[in-house]
Amino acid sequence: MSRRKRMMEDLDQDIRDYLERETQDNIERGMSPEEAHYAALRKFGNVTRVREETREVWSFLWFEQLWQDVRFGLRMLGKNRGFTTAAVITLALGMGANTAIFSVVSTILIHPLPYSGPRLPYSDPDRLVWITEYWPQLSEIVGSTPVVMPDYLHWRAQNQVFQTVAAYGFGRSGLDLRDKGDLERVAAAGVTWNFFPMLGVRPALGRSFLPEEDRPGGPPVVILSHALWQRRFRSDPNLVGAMITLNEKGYAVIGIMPESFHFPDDWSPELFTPLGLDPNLNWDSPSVGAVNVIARLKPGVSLHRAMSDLITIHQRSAKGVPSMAEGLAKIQVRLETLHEHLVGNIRPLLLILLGSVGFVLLLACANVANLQLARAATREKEFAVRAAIGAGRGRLARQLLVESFALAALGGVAGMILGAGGVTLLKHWGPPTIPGLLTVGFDPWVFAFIAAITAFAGIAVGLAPVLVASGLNLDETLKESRPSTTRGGAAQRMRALLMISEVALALVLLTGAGLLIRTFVRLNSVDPGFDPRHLLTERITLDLGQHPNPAQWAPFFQSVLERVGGLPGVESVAAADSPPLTDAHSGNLEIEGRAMPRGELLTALVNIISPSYFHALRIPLISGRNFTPYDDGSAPRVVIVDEVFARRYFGQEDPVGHRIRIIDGSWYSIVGVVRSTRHLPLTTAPSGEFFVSYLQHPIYSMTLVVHATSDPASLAAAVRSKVQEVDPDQAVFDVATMEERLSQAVAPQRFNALVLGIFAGVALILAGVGVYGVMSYSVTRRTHEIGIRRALGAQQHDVMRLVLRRGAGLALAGITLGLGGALALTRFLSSLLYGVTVRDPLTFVAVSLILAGVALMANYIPARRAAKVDPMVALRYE
Amino acid sequence: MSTKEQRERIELLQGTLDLLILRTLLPGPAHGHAIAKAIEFKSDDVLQVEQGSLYPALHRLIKRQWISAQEGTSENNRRAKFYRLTAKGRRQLAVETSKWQKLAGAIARILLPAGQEGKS
Repeated sequence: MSRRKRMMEDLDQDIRDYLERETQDNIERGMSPEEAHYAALRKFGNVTRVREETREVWSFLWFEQLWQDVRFGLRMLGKNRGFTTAAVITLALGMGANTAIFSVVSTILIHPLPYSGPRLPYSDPDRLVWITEYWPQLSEIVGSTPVVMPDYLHWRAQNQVFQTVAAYGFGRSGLDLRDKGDLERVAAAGVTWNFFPMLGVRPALGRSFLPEEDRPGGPPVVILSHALWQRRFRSDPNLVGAMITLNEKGYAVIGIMPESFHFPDDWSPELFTPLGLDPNLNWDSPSVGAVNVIARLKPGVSLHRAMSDLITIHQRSAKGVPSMAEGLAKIQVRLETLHEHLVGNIRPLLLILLGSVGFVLLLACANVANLQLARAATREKEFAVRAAIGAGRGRLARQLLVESFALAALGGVAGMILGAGGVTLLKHWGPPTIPGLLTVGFDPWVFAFIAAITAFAGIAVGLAPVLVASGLNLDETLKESRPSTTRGGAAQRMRALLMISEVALALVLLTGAGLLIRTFVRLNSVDPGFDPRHLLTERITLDLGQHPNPAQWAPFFQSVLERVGGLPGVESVAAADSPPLTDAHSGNLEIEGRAMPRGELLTALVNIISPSYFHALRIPLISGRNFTPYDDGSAPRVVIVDEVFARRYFGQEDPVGHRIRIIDGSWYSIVGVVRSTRHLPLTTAPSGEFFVSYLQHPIYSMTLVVHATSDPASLAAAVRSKVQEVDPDQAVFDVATMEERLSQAVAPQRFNALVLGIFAGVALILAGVGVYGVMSYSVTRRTHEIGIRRALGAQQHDVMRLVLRRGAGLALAGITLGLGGALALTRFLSSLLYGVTVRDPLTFVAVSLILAGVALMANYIPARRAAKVDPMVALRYE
Repeated sequence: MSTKEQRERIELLQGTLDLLILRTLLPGPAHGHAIAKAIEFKSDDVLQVEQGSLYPALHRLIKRQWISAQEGTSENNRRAKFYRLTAKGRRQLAVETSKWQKLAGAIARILLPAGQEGKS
């Protein structure tokens, strides 16, 4: 630093010395001293510039000038409050939206799962795999299924490819936690003892399960989730080692999971017990069920190799059971990484959102670039003067870029704040189908992303004015007293280009949003097959310890139905295993007199209901008769099928009178046909369902469906008290009105439509403002020309037509370009759409018209202003 | 557009100017004005040293350690800055000179067969 300073001081002295000598020479040539001095100065040239260039040799100048530029730029921005505010707000909107969406993408898609594994060499969460099985018949309807227990046991014992194989299962509906008379049903999972160690998580308090606890008839021990411990036990640290009551049985609490632990599934159990599988279970054991299997690969083992190992073990064990070997051989094994299993479904949506929000940012940048262009035009003189006193082109360009970067940085900071707000909103409104949404926050990736988009915005915003400014013609600009009408072709073209791309970007976003909105509307207008109004649903699950005898089940529900039906405000009440808008179960069946190829079975959804079901839900009977209370255990077995079932298995024939055989092995006569209803997801068309009365096929868990005469939600407490009149220990859970369920069923689509709709709305506004800005600026520039035209006899409408024609031409070009882009891009939306195609003509036409309308409006205002130009004023206009 | 041509000329001059400065300093140290005068005088005023580029060039050479600057007293007893060729600069002068001669020779071979006499 000091060396440079000395050098510069020396330089000043040197230049003085030089000038003195030159002056002296000139005097000796016979000039007067004054003349000589000026001649010397003239010959030497621009002292400032020489100093700067010399200083530049010492290379500190670059930073110095940058600092100057920054200060100057900030001063200019400060002077131009209106411009700065508009630009920063625009950029902040774009960057805020990007920040929010990227936070979600970063947390959910980029981050590894928070299961680092045991502290072994090579441990990493990417080696966790999710294993499912694919059954030829069943899986076509329900997809891959959990692993059948014998497979899990054989794999655990014989595999060569995994470090650990662990499993978990959910109790059908959780455990009843009793605490001082208060009863709550809590979601519970049974896990193998090695489950938590495999994930690399250990309880925050207490210990994990021991191998000897994980066996049939093992000791009653339980681990609690942090949330449950907090909620129900006020984070009591002495709870570990204490007893709690679950399903009226004492359990010893041995551990509390850490707060950061998330169960690797769509839903989060709050109680964990040992799974307790019998290791000797085999294919022919009566209690064979399925478990969810997660395993940790040995280092260097591929998914493919692991899969073939598992298949080999499966085939070998299947051969050991000749009676079932043929069917078992058809089962396929599927492996995917746990990460893919958890986020694979949501990835397309998140990437689409990220892409859309990127478009919004591009639009914001285009808009601000436009503002910058307009401002640069008014600063032409300033630039020309600076160039004349020695600023190089690079220097001017840098000045503009510095200003753009300052804007971008301000926008970035504001955007970060908006983004944080956006994340909060997303967490609040996001559908539960996005796993891990609640864990979203700012991480280093997000900050890096903000830095990257800020840099991008700085360049994007600054580039256009720089390109235009470097085409500036000094002599002309300095001579001119007002902005020229004839020059500035580069700027005009640039502005037109920006306007076209803004319109195009907005159109692509509008199309996407349009398709998603149409999807939402279509889904809302889907006929669920029943009337969802006035319905309240509550689940009742009997404790099998208390009610071990199936003969007790039907009477229990019968008396509940009677009591609830007697409540004031209850029009009717029914019970069902899986009412509409819930997950349905499928079952195999056989039709009397119809020979099936060996090993193949027909399937349909099974629903077990009370006779009042169709009445309470207003599901119309199409033919035959309804169940009656007399269709009970002692009466002939009867079944009702829905119309899809009838069409699928009986075609035009009336199924009434035919007999089918179902799971329990009995023959049931078809007595009626009803309208089909929809289960979850709502987008799935009915696939055929049959109904059996609970009086003939009792089950221990059913959902009450109460048809209220007025507001159904207000009945919840009364219904619960009626249930507890029958059994004070009976818990009621999963209480919701049917309309709430319906609303939940469309929540993902509503979220998609809402978010993309907001983006498209912002895009529409930005594009409108952009078009307005460009056209308005063009009119201002042409005021003089318009004045002449008017003076020469052009009418108001001629002038309007002149302006509108250009605006409309540009807008049309943008729309055409945008339509092309939309046609190319909407196919990425296909997985999110329902009831509309990716090239839905109605959407394409509608959004084009909307955009054209907005562009026309934005165009019309400046056009009118142009038409109203007073020729006299315009000609004098300087 | 005119500026672009100017810039090209300056850039062409820069390397040449460096060479001329080094050559001028070969007999002994000199101050800035003397260097400029010397170049103009020795080239019969064909080469007008652009004053604007002299000082940046001098400093560039100092930075490359081809010349050094020191305080001195000039003939009429005034303090002035004297520039002196360093050993490194001397070597560089040899390199630059031979390069220049090659270039000049090459250009001459291209131009001469055309037979047209230049301005001079």
